Amino acid sequence: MKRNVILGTAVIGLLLAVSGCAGTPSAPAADSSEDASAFKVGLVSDSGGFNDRGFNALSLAGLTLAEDAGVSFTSEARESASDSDLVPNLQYFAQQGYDLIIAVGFAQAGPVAEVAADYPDVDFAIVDVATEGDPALEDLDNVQGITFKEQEGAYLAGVLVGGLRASGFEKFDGDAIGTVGGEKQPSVDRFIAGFQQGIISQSPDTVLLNGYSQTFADQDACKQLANAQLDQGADAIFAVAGGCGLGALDAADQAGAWGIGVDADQAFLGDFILTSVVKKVDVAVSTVLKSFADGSFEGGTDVLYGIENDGVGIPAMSDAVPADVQAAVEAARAGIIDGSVVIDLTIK
Amino acid sequence: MNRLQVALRQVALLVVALVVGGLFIVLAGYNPFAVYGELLAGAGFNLVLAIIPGNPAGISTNIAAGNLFATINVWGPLILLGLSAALPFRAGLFNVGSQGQYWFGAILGVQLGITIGSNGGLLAAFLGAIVGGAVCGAIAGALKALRGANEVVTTIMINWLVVYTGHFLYGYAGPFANPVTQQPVSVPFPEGMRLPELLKSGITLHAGILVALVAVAVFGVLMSRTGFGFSVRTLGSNRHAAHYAGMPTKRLTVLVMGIGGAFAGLAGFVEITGTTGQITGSNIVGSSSFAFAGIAVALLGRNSAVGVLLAALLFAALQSGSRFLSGSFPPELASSLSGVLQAVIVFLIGANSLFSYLGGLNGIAARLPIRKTQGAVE
Amino acid sequence: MRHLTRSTVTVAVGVLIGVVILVFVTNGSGLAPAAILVSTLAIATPLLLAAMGGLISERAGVVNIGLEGMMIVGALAGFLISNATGSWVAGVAGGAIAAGLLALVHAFVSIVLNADQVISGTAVNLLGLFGTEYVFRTFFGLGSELPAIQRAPTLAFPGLGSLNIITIVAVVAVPVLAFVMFRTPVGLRLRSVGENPLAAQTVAIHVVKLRFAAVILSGVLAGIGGAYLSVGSLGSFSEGMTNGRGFIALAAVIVGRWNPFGALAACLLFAVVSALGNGFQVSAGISADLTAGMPYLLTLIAIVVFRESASAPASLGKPLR
Repeated sequence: MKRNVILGTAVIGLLLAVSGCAGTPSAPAADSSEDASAFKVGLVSDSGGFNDRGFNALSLAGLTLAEDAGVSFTSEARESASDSDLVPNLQYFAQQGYDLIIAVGFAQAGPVAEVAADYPDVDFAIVDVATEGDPALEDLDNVQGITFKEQEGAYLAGVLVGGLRASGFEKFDGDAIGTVGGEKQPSVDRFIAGFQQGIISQSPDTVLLNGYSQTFADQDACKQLANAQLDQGADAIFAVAGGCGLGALDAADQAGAWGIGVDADQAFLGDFILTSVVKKVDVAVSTVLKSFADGSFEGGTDVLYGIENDGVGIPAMSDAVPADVQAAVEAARAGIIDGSVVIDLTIK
Repeated sequence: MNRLQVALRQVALLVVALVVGGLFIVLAGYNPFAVYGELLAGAGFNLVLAIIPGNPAGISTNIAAGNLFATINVWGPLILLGLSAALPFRAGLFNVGSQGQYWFGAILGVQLGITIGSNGGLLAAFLGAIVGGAVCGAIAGALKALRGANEVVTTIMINWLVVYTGHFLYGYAGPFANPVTQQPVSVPFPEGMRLPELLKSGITLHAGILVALVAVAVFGVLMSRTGFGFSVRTLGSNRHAAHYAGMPTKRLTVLVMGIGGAFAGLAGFVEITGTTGQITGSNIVGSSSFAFAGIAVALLGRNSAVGVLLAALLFAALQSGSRFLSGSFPPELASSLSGVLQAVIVFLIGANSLFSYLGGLNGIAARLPIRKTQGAVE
Repeated sequence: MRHLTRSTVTVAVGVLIGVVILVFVTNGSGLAPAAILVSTLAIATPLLLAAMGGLISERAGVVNIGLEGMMIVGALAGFLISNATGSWVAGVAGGAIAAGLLALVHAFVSIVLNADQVISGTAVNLLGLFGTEYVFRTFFGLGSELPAIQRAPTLAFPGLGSLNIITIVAVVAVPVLAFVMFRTPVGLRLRSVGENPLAAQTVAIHVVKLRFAAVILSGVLAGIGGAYLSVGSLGSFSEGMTNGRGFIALAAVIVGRWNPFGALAACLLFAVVSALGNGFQVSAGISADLTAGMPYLLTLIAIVVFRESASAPASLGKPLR
């Protein structure tokens, strides 16, 4: 045991020595904010990480988007490897005098509530969480919730898919449409529920297949799940599973079926991508930054993105889509906006 | 080898690890000295420099202290995870089940604590976590003792079973998910019941480290001062000898895995009631590195109490320090860099005879009887 | 087959019967038997390759818990090299070589330096997990669109479906390995090195050389298993995409009692339960947590039911001192 003491002392001594050597050049963190007009933004991912091909990646892209739009700010992004990193990452930014901290993901609701209460002078925005209805968040006036009505964008995609299916469009020769979720989470299920109802509204006899891979990383798990749906007659696969979903889309491609992308426009994957349900987290983040820059940012409120304010949706349809189907999609869009189309959030 | 030589060797290994890690940094196009310096500053170790009169390095003591607190908050659970691997290692058992034991303990503890509420809830969570972790570990021990089932495989399988059970319990609309917000997260562990705050400098230092220090002391005393410790060590050095000496090897196996599991359960307790304050299903699914963290700490610390303490500090510094890297290194590479460094360190611990190997071919010949024999045959 | 002990045959037959029964109960899964078979083989492919690798290494007396790390390295290297060269063969070979190099380090550390093999294997896993993340992000940054790479082709089997060429390699590898291990002098030497290295040494078997070869080969096979995911099945890479398959393979080696056919049976059991789980989840709406956990539960039960007894190589994990 004594041996270990010596050993440890030596190790720590060495660490300190190295720390001493290199401490000086790295020390001052203050000089990065020389531009007085620029505010400081911290971005904290959830445990999915910035390479999730989903809302974390898009949030990071939102910073670039704001920069391109001419908003003047300095920023730093911190990735959380697990939930254990959330509170320290938020506290780090708060302590270092950041003006606005953007937290991504429902897992951060609790941590943001905790840190925001401690730092009333720092503003927070949290993606995919509504402050209203969350007892820990709703009384804080320095937190803005940002949520999306994913079901509205997905409903349009469903109307498109269902309409094409009903009109006998190419590749629609089976009796089912599949959806592959990552983990079962509220936002994932909003996508799936909206999509399914959109399909049923146009093509009521469609068999709806749904499953979850329970992972956002294991692409082959999503692929095998999608294959099970394709074997059961699915003509199109809607993947709501971040990076894992690429495997499900690939299964659709190889089986000669359609793929429907999620979050960003995934048309770059190939011609088999029929459409994508876009959830503009990047625009939302950029909008928060703009509002912060012009002083219109309001804590204690929620911003809700849907079809109406173009926060969710589907990309422009190609001319190959029959005119009546295009018309049905536009009618659904109008119906959602005027409230005549009500989307139920339960999954079939 | 005397103690100084051993210490020097261990330091030399660390230097080699830093050099190898430095290669990774250089390959990505960054300056390793700056990155290492920031890593240590990120861990809050530069606080020492602030004590120098006049603070010539211009260190912000608030930030350094906060970073140090973050490191210590990581240190506690890592110590406990290290112990959960170290005790079974001493008995010749390989516990890869820390992940499952951590979560089973955390889940049982947190739910018990929330149910009981402010009167004794924290204590209930503490006890629940110990029991949950112990049960989870003891099952693998019992399968080993009664059915000869390889504990490496059973603990891995049990990990996954706990992971998916936990994911179900805290999943969307799951039985333990937050009924108010409808999110797949536990209700927050009540503010008044959390592990007490010790200090605060931006980042809170909670009492988790004290729990871990007590656990290390218990482990140290158990191993070196009790008959149990003697039995465990005998079991580890020679199972058959232990059996013929009349030791209850089967019961010991269950007990050792159970206590190992209890340590892991405590790690979950400390983390949830101290740092995160909640359990999310996705965090349970994405926690496969927990078991490795514990194993690596135990190995680096040579399964001794003090060793685990120091090894956990080193790994905590790497993990926490990389979190707060700023400026000279892209943050998206930071956590994988700290992982690579940990891997290289573990490699080198394994290869601790590297220096005698490099020390000369005579050294090899002496250490590897096989070579000599082969030479003779050829 | 003298070397196939009766108990091993019992296990293999028992598991296969179980598989057949499962397939019969599967009408509820909404999948045709052919679809289940194809899906089972696809899921089993990476497991099988890694398991064969693990088996070779362990038969030679070197524990290889680093299969997971070797697989993910094979997956990334396969992706990068297929992308760079435009050839899936080069990609798979690159994956095999990269994982083989990692195995070489494991071999050096655990055979020459007499390190604890478990320590070294743990390091391999850590290095694989974090090292691939580091390299992948260095190359592609965050969230970029990945290039399309050339993939290993699939072959169509009429009446069954299409199987990836690597799947066929994996399936063929099992009897080949069994033959080499139990019917050839090399196999005999390999096993003697794992059972009693000192005795092997006295009959002029080069223990160190054989163990090196075995460990490197185990890395090569695990690497191909990983490359199957990136270059074979998906044409893509994502961080952590092996998702614990190396550990399943390790379990399969032990459940299959260090016998190729036993390991095959264990891999198939795991894969068929996963495949059926997908089917049942889709058609019957069974909870995804239940279907995801079921293969692990059944593997655990298999371990407990089929007692391990004394089939492990006698000198497994013991460095030669």
